[in-house]
Amino acid sequence: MRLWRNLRGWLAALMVMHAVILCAGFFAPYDPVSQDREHPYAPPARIHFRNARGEFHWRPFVYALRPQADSFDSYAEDTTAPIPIHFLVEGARYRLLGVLPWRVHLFGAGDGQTRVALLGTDGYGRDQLSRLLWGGQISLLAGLLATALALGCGLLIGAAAGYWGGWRDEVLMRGAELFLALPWLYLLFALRAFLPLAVTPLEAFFLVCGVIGLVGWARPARLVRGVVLSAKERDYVRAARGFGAGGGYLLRRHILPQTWGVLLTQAAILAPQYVLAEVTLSFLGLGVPEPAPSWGNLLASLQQYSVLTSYWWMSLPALAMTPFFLGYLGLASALQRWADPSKMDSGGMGSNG
Amino acid sequence: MDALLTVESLTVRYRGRHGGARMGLTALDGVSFEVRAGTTLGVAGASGAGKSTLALCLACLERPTLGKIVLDGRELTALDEGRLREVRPQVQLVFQDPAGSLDPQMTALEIVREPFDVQKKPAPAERTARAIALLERVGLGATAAGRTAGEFSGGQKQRLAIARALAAEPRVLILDEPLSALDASVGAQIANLLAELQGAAGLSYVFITHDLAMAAHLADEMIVLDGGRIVERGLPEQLLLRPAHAATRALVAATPRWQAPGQGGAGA
Amino acid sequence: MIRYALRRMAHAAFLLAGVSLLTFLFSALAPGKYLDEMKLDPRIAPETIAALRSEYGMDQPLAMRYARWLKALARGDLGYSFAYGQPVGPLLRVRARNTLLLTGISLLLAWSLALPLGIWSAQREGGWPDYLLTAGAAGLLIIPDIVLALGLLIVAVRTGWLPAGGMESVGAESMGWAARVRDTGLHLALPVAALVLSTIPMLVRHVRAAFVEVLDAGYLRAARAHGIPRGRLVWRYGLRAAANPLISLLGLSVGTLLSGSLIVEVVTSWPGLGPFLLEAILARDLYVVIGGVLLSTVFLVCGNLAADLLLYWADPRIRSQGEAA
Repeated sequence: MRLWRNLRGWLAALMVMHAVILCAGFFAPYDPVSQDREHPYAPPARIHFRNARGEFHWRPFVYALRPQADSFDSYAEDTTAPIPIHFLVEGARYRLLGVLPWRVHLFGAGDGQTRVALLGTDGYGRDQLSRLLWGGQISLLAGLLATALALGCGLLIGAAAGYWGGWRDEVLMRGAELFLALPWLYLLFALRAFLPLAVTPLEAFFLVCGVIGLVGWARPARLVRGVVLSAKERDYVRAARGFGAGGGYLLRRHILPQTWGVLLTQAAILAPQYVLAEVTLSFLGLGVPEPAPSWGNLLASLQQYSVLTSYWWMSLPALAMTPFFLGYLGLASALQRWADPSKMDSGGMGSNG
Repeated sequence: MDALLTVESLTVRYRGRHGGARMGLTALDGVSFEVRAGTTLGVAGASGAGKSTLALCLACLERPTLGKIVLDGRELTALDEGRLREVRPQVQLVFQDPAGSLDPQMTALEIVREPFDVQKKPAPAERTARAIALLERVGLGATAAGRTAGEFSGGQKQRLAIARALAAEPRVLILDEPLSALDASVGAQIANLLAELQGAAGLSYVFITHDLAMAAHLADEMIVLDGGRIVERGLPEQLLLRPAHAATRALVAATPRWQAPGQGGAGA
Repeated sequence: MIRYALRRMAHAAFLLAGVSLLTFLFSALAPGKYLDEMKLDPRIAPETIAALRSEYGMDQPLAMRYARWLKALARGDLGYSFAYGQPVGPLLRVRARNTLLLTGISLLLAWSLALPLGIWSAQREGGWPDYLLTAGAAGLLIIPDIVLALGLLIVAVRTGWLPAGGMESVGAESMGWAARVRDTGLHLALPVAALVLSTIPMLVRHVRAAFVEVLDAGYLRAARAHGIPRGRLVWRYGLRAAANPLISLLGLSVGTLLSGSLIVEVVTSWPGLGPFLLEAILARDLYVVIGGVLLSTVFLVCGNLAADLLLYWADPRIRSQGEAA
């Protein structure tokens, strides 16, 4: 019982985090690609409750940032004009959940002009918070799609190998072994290398999903095969064969339902790995290209020495990813314990090599 | 009476690898016997003698390496999978471990209905009624229909397995140590049920067991398996009282003897 | 023993053959013909492209191309780098050496730390030191390796304790031998730290799990009752019993480290296969990419082969199975 509650806890936490990302348009104050050339590399906005005269206001406010004359990236607060923060404001258009056109954002500057960059801005003046939230959509979706692809392929191939047995099983499992023998990231890069580099963000997105998913089918396939092999020998499956059930029926009704546990656990283990794979690819310029935001893109600027040393807020996206990985790790552990309480946590072995 | 089921020179050899070495295992070697309609053939043997392999072959769940199985004139071993599927319901297998042979997530009704759904007859509207009738026939009652298989006791599970086997309308029931997992009193009840069903429906049984006394009680004719071969055959009383082969003697010696007050000597 | 070794080597050879086929197929079947893209690159003359096309037999059927490529591979000819204008082999050699250095040292260090930590944790199972270590490992596990590498880089840059990138300081050639070793060592510190920190949590977890099972075994408790001292018990008997899963883990960790080294090298500017491969991909330098992938796979397969052989030596059960052949 405790295991189930534990599992539910992690699931709930993950769903909340994903919900926020899903509604990125609402939580993000601005459009992720809209630039503000007048405020490049602006530090995170400081929220004030007490103004220059010491008065306390309930409504938080910010000061406009005035660029200094001598350098391009230092700013001073203009304390003469406090700009209140309003909630549920109308702002840039976006599509909620990708479908419903809407304009309301969680918060925004009172004067409708000033940009409140809670996490600072990048070299083009783009709001990092908005980019973080929208980028999360792309990175998480890529990871989840790739996971679905890998699990789908793994299920098909593993079930086929386990059910047919014989030489077909041999061939398929040798193939799986081959894929597992390759250093995972190198294979990913090689695959990406041979596909066209200059693609639109949408094409790149599907390309990345496809590549990651295709590399990762081997481990789920092996696990599914194991389950199918043992399920095939169960007496009730034999009995069903005994009164004339065909392979399709057996797989559908008796054998494949047994793979749920394995598939779910693998999903929880693989999803963060694949999100990370997308982040890595985008970080290195092989994934989703600019101007589309992705967590990898956000971190890419850190490869420049100047950015690394001078603009500390550009590293914040790295921290944002961490709760998600924590959630998935917790979920995976809880799933493993729930599916098989007797076994010790054998863990998913990170990347397979 | 003509033989309903004829087995000729049935041989099953497994090829396997163990640590890189090729190993051969002969589970059955040249087994031949006949089963007449409406009778019970007892198959006795120690563990590893090949009984379960025989059961699987008779139910067409394993393909023999050599030999023939003929059911009512049709050679089952020569049929391809497609045609075999039509004939399959006529020979049904009741497994040794009732818990393993029933899907614990399915309800009793679903389990007994399954053969109807797979064979696609009778009409969907009738299936539930027939299934419930079968449940009652084996003594489980209509109230058991909604309970999942995991909730039943050992004896009830075996009844359920028998009900499912009956749903396929078989002519031959292969019973692979059906009572070994049950305690004596429960086993006796199931044995009585089986005898009753045989009388009413004219079923033929192949009753496989290591308990010679039990087999003698139910069988009309008996064979003894050892190392995959038939080492002795005859009437049950003959084998019990005057066992000729060493294997038979070993089985007889292992049989529990019940002594009713005032009675002495061997007997089941 | 020889038979087992030969079998594992045949297995490894099969894997390498399969991988070579796979990589070749990827490159051959990829949409967006490689050479077409190269035509757009102003650095490469059209005559070069035509020459390459005929030399590599791009117009010939797939099987023939593969055969040609394999033959060249057997000669040690890994192809020609379009970007550098040199044969690929020597270019990769230096880079491969650097990656091996990094990965080898990280492997040693990671295991030298993970083994004692895991055992120590298993011995105190359930106690708060164990809990702390498990929580710490879980904490590290969550942090993706990119973030770790970047984080360490920031620390190095801010504090100035360690050089932030590269393999040698300027003017390294003029240093004495000892000074050079020290210099390389300092440069190694950052990437090694990043790699070790990213793999250690998984290792500790598995070592701990293996030892918890082993230490619980009946035969060890019987040995304890015989009076065998605890230390010897763990290190001589426990280690032996846990050898099987641990050696498999070793093989797996080689793979994880190789993959991890790719990104760590790029972030910390360590001149290994990683940055070189990345550069080649962006420059569409086909044969460098293939060569790099093949080379890394060779390392991985060799590492696993070594682990297999080690397993044979360590686990008598494998030996007896092998003898039965």
